[in-house]
Amino acid sequence: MAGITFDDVTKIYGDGHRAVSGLNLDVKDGEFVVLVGPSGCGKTTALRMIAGLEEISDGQIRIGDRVVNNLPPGARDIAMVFQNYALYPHMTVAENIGFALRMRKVPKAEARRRIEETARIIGLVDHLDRKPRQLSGGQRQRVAMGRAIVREPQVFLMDEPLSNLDAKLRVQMRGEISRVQRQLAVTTVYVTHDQVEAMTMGDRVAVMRKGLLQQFDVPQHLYEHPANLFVASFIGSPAMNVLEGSLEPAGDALTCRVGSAVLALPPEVQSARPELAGNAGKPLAIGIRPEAFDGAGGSDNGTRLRGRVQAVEALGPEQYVHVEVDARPVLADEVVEGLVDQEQAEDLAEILPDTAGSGATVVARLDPSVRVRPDEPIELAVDVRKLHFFDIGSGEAIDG
Amino acid sequence: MSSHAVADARAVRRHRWGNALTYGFLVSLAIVYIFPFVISIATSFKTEPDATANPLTLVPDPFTTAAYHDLSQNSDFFLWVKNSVIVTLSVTILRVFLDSLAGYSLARLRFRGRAAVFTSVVLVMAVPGVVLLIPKFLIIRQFGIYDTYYGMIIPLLVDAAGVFIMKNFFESIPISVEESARIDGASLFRTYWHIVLPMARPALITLFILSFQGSWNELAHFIISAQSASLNTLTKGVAQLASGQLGSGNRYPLKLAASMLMTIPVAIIFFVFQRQIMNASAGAVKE
Repeated sequence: MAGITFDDVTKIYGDGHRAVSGLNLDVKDGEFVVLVGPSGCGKTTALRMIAGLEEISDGQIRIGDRVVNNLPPGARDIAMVFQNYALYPHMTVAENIGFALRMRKVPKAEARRRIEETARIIGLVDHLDRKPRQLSGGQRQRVAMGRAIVREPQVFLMDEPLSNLDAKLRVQMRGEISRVQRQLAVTTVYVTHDQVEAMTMGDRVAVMRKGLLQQFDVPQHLYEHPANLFVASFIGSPAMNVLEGSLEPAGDALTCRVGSAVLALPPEVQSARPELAGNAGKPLAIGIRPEAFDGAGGSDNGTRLRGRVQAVEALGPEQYVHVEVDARPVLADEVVEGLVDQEQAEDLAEILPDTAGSGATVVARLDPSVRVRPDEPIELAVDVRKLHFFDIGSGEAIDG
Repeated sequence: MSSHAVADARAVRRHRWGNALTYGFLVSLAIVYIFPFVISIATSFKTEPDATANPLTLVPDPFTTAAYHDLSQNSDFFLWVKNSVIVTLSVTILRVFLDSLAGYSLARLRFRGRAAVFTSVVLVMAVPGVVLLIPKFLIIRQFGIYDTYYGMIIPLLVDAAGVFIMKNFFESIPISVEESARIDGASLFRTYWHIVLPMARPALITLFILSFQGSWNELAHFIISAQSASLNTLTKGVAQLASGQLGSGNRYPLKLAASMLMTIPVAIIFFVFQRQIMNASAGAVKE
């Protein structure tokens, strides 16, 4: 087993496109790290550079103590699971799993033993003699996993391995991949554009945008302390609500103005976040997670947003309530890209001017016992301890 | 009967008539296409006077295998068969291998001048084969392989159309399958040999059939590359029947008997392999 180190790694394609810029990342031995970001963010390129399928334009990648920049893929002691499985169609499941052993001239008896052991791990013992075309999508995905496992490599690389499965199977396979990775304790780098996958599977998650690493941390810290507006809006489902606002001094205390609402910040919030006082008076982006709202009315008037219900999504144990409030949404690129895919972002940009001027729509995650109906007025209590503040120009979080 | 029912019945009748006309046209086309072949079979079993007097009858009167007997006794037919088999098998096997190697290089390897090489391959396809006969003859002479098997075989080993077909097919194979093999530790050649070639089976079989048919039926190249009677292939031998020791008279039954025998191997190859043409990459990747 071995860790992986990216040391100022850059990838520039022949046409001048900069896919990855100065990436520094330290994946520990046995760790499960997820690279996540919208399409075109450079996550797959970074993974392919570890595999040796893309040349490195600048910087250094080490697997363990070895610099692998110039090693061919077969000499890096890595195994990769591709998005489309990339099985060998003319070979049986057993031959697919055993191909790498055959290339390494592992004795036949030993290879057979390892193939059978792998088949047990992935639950395909009864399918060893079948061809890929005779398998279901989930089974093919397992064969792809098995092909990686049998190698007993130093590193597993996975490129969106679940994106071709249906939603239910994806949840099941998510658990299985995590289980196998824990069982084998192999250093794993996993690429996905799905932040739920990233949050549920990764020991640590690296969020990327436009070839740059935005933040690299454990999932909970990413969620609770996003480094910037992009991470804030990308991580979390439903996404964080981001509104224009400001901090204003009120005697010794601070209040947070969002549209027409003024939210009082209690002294304990100010003492826990001393940076806030220095930003009083500046225009800020205020982030409110859907679960920071409460529909029960809250403790006092100083912590409420008022608005009108637009739509209600009842999910059983909870409900998402879309509320139009009197405030301006932050429509910076990093927020829009964090919310949707880049292509969708371009489509959205064409639509957005039409919505400018009207209020912002926020999503609140409320208890199903709160009775709400579309078009009715609503008061949302805000847990001000969970507010996030960002510099509206740079997008950086101002309170760490 | 309601007006709807009348209209429906009319539509059904019109549809039937339309079908009958279509099938009638197709059947007549099929007859036109197959008739010469049937005439060839029939004539090869006719006597010389019958073939001359009734060239288009489908039933030989009297029925005789004399032409086949004559062919085996009074010509070098078996020598021609041997030469054709040697040349055709050598050309077919090596051409499939070399065309696929060249096609793979052009599809997957990045090297300086790749585009220029591919353009020249396409350009060669545009040049009529006849134009190249004399230059080929001169080169074969220059290399000292005139009137040898080498001269008959080597110039046919690679053809532009084959390279073109293989290149296009290889480009349709998902690159991730090859990347997977490279990560599994396969070298470039082993990836080609163990992974890519088996996946290219439909294209290889197509190329095999085309190459077999092409070299079995080749005539012009053998005329310019050899002159000894001992190197005559079937095509050359049959062409010379008219003027050789069996050249007196029309000799239709004899010539067509030879043609029939010549056709058999190509027909067998085609019928055996056409069943093998199938999608070999099913299940490789999620589409």
